[in-house]
Amino acid sequence: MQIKLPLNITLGIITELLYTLSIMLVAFLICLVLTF
Amino acid sequence: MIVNPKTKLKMRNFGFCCVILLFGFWILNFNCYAQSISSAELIDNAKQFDGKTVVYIGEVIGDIMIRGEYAWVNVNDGKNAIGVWINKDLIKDIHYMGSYKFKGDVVEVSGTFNRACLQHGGDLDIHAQSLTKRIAGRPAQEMPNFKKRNIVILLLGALGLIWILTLLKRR
Amino acid sequence: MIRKPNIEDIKGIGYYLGKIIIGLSLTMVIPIIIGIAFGEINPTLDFIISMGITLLFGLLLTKLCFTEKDLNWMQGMIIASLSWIAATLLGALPLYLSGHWNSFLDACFDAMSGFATTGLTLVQNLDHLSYAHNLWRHLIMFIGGQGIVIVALSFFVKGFSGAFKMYVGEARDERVLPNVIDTARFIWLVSIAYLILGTLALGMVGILNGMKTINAFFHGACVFMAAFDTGGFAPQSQNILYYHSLPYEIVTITIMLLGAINFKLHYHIWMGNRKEILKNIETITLFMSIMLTFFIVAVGLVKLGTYPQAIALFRKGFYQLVSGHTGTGYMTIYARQFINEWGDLALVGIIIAMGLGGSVCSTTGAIKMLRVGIIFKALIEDLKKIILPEQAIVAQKFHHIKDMFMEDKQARAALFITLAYLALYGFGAIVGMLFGYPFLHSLFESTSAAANVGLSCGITDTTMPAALKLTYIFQMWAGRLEFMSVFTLIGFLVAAVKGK
Repeated sequence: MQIKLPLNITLGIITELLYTLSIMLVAFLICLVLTF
Repeated sequence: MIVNPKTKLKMRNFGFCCVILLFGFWILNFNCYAQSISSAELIDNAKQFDGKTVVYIGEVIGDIMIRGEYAWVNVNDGKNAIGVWINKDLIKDIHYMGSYKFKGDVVEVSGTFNRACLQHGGDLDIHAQSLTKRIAGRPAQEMPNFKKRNIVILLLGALGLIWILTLLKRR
Repeated sequence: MIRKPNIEDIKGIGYYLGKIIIGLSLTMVIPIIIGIAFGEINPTLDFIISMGITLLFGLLLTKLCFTEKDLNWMQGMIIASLSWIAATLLGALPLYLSGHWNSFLDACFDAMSGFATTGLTLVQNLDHLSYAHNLWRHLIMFIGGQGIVIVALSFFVKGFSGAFKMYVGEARDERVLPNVIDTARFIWLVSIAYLILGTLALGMVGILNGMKTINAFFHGACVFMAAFDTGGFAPQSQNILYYHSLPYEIVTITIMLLGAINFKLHYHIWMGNRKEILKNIETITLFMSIMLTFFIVAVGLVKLGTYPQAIALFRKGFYQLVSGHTGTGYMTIYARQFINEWGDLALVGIIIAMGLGGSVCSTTGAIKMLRVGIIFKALIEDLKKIILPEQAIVAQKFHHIKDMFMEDKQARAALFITLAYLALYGFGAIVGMLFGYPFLHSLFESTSAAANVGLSCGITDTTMPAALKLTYIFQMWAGRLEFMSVFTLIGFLVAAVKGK
């Protein structure tokens, strides 16, 4: 339990960062397509 | 020696021209102040000024950010601050940057204005070709405000009183 | 028959309000420390004075209104709404004393804007503001984003049922954890954890960008607080354009989006339920909504040729869009450029994004994604009922941490608050137009205020009519508290006058 908590939090933060990254990537894709 | 009247006329005309030319140069020196454009005008008419050479005068504020061979100098003319992209060799004169404790150097910048600079991801900026320091900056003198100090003493007194009263009440 | 409020009601309100004000005064210690550290004499005095006045006022209230009773719903709501007014007036004191605001009203405008994490500002000469005052501007966004009541509750050791009622009054009706004190503490944990990560990230980017180290980290902390709490104040007058930096913009986009996530969702993801981020109605709705509104904005911009390059479209078009949708208000363009260069279609896209907002129980404002998702699902349910045979039973489900069935009362509540926001946006737009501003610009600024966004198209200025400033202050307040506690306060005042 002791080790699990910080690990879960770290993985949780990474998950959230991936979510934000995906939003940025899709948005950039839209930019590329529209300025083609 | 008798001077030919015609030559005298030519000499007088030449003298006149010299005076006019000198006067003209003198006026032109003022013109470069008159031609500077305010930040508000630049921003509001960004499309018209896009790509044109402009003169902009203002105070250097914040940090000068050196990026490789060039640097960002943010210049505030009282209404807005505009980013100036300039070769780092041209900013050697700047000693003071504006903040709470300092009045920054007032500089005159001449360069190309960009509404949405494609080199800089669409930023509104000026790519400077020249930068001249017009007014030197200095440390801002901070005089302690005595009125405020007195109010502080009063308040601390009031709070101290309440604290004493609370202690007495507990007894 | 409305009952006139009695002295016991008022005492309860006064006592807990006093405690919250005392808590607020203690937060002013931080700018005092910063003022001393940077050797800023007058700013330090400003904060000592403000702290003294605030503390005295709080002590006075707690002494005069001492009561041991717990709170009822009405009192809880009223304390929430009043504490925001108190915070605005008292938080404006140090700002006004700095001399950087043209009037006390202007200082109150910025104080409300700070606590309500809006970001519209009337500050003068921001580039010469002291570190202490600048930190306070950003700190109040951090405090307001968490919730003034939550911050004050942190100073209490044990909980009481009244605490939850105040918490709800502050538009946090999601029980993240069963106990409201534990909920408050978890929200702090997430915020502090990201504060450390975010400040480090921004600080390092700042140093790489050529900033002085001390400024890189000072700005890092301030910009983090304003970004995570989707506020929008920045340490310099150019806002985020000051940095001229794509990495800085990417980090701030990340932080803004993190701030737009429901704290309950943070909790579940951090406790191991990572798949939730793919299934949750809010994260899905947010993703779709951002892409849809950005599409509108991008088409509008491309048609006008405003940003002909993909990277410029991203750093200007998408940045402003994400800033608006998350309710932050960070800008990498000048306010007037919205009017001069964006065109009506792109502006409409931004206004819609601002009006929709981020997740519930996050630091954002506006209608919020859970409601948008619920309304959308309710619409689908009604359509199904029409299309499917009459005997078919339609039950619409949605997933929010757990699978839930859509109930009529949820849809009704969602629609009611949505309508209230739309009415508020319209109200501010009409007031703007009464003062001569064009429709779309008035709607833009009004939505920005009521949805606690902070993007400005130039209307917000110290020369604005005072009545318009008051209108925006009211909108920021009502929008942040999601109406209920504001209505309760008004009802209370009506009862005080008309009740028997």
